[in-house]
Amino acid sequence: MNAALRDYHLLWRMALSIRHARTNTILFGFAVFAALCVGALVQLEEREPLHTASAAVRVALASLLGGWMVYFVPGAVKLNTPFTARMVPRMRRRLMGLTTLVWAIATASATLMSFDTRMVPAFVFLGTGSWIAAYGLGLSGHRAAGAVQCALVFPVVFNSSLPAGLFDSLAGLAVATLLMLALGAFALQAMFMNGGEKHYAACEARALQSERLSAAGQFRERKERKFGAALYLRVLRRDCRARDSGRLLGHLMGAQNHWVYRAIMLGRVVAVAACALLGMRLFASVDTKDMAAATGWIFASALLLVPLFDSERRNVRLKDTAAEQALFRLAPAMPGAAPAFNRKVDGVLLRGALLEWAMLAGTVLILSAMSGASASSMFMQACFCCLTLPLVGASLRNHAHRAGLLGWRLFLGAAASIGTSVAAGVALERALGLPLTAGAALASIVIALAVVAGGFARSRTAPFAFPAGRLA
Amino acid sequence: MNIPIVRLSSISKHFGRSTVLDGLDWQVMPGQVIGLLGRNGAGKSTLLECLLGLRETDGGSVTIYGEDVNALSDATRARIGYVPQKSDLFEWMTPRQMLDYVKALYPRWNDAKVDALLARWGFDGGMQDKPISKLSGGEQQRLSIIRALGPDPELLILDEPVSALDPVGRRDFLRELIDGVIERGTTVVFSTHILSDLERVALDIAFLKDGRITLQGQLDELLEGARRVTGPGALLDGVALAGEVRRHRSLDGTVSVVTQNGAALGAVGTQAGVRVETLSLEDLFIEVTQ
Repeated sequence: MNAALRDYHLLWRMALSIRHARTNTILFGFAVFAALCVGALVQLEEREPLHTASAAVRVALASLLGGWMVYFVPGAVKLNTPFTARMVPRMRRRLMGLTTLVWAIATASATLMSFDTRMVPAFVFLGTGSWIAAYGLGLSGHRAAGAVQCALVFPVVFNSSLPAGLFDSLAGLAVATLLMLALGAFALQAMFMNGGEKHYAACEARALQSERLSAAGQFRERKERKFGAALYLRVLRRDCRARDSGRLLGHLMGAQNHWVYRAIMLGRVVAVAACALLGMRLFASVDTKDMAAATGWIFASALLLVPLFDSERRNVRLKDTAAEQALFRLAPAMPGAAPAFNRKVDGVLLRGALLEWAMLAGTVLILSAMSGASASSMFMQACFCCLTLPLVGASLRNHAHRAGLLGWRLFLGAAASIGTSVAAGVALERALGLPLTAGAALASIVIALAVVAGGFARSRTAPFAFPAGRLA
Repeated sequence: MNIPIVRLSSISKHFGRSTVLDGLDWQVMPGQVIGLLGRNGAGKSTLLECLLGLRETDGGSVTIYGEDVNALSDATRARIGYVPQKSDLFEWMTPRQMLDYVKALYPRWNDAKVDALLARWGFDGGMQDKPISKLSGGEQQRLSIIRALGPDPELLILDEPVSALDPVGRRDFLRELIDGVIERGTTVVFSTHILSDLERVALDIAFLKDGRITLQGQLDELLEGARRVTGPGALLDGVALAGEVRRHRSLDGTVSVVTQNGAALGAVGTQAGVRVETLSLEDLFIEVTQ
């Protein structure tokens, strides 16, 4: 084996093994599994052994190629660190060459496999090539990656709207191919930078990308715009001057979890929605306006899912600020005994959760009103808001224990609460003639009261809430 | 007068099957400056956290100024300063905002000292307006120390306070610790791995091993008395030395005994084939914690 081939072989193995030491075993296993599944389905459908074998081989090949690419490309990008890019330029060149080869083989194979199927080979060729390039651009941490990936979705989703015969002519195909190649070259340069400041910045962007995929990274404090930061600072100064431990506790989980920022965020939602609705009133047809009035509240209802994520966010931040909580625990402004301490913490968390719920419910109702919803729709909307009220009780838990800090318990609890409320609503409707939604809302309020009372009762005997998550 | 400020009695702490503290007894007297030593994972941070009541113990009791650690009065908590190992705290605030925030939680706060420390330790106007997350590890650690010194604590607990500091930062910190804290009679307990710093500051040292304080004493006395006695097994086997800390037999049959009471070696030290060596703090650390 000559030196170049040995380099390529080594880099291929290194890049593949970054995520998993036994990548090939996993991919071959997956390819066989996928081929067997698809083969069995095709055989059941068509009962043509030749077709079955052909489909199975194509699926196996596609799985292998796709898998290799998904494992190799991120690994190759990681191997090209700012240090190696400058100090081992040959390695960078080899990585670029190998990635180009992978890209070319994957694109060509996908195109070949599309022959004799319902897919248009030219479309598969351009789609696969562009998608791989956009995928690589995404891995590079380039800011344009998101926009390029979104732009590529449109021709895939709306391919029937593309001009007929666009790729039939040689000129059309050549232009599209050149565009694809240009995107590929641009992505390749972005993926394999040649060291320097930009390369370090790209590495940071990549680290941030992967951090945002984790629960902790998702809710990490980020830089806020000037207006929000200034407003928050005013409130922080005011609370420091007041020396009220309850208010000070409200800042413990970070600026972006303080009610000031939540209010600013909801204000932005209302402002954007108001602009959109104003535009619609001015320019939309009567039918569109009627449709917005009839169904706008349904879209606003989507905001009611936010309390679920708010509870999750609050718990993640509680987990991440354990060291800050240790200092709070020792602060003389806080009560010295566990029951009083927990009551204080629970009180502050509950107050925050209730305030956020009230702001959210208000936003939902304002949006519904702006969309021109009828009084009955508004009433129904208010009842729906009440269905999420028991979620405020999720902030009252035994914080010292890790168990239940994160996970599905919250979602299951919410589902059980809503289910019980609806069942109670049905019962009240039958017994008293109360509208179902009103009955369900009443039941939700009762459940919320019970959950909150239970939470406070538990906190009396629980260990110190802070630092959160220190016990198994 | 000599009532311990901190008293830990029979403290046990387990993480799953692993025993971190095993019936540990320890006392800290007023005005003592104790360096807590132990290998990585020996449980120094856990011990300090249990001492402050930040972690539940599985057995035993902890009192600070005579009060149960789980029900400390406001006045007692106002007397305690703590620098945790993690120093990137309140990272969304600027240093000034964070200090104002912590100040609001304490009944007394020494603004003059805080301002002087900020100035001396390089927190100029620009740096005070940066979010803490943007400060370097050393800057965050210095800020963490300033925060702990703000309320003029009478008991200062420091968990690896200098691990992220450069030599200049360490020297500044040690100077402040000696001039501004120890001279005032503050009781200090700190864990560290940097033995040269410990020699400059600590009057007492305590070694944590196998979940217990295996050796504690005044640093000078320990170093003065510590000896490594090496000789053939035939001579040292069966001879119990006073203040024996560790006994080790090599593959060639040589026995090495570390004692903290070198003055009481008597005739053993003068026998032919027996070598007696004095120990540095690093030697002692290795011998005691191995």
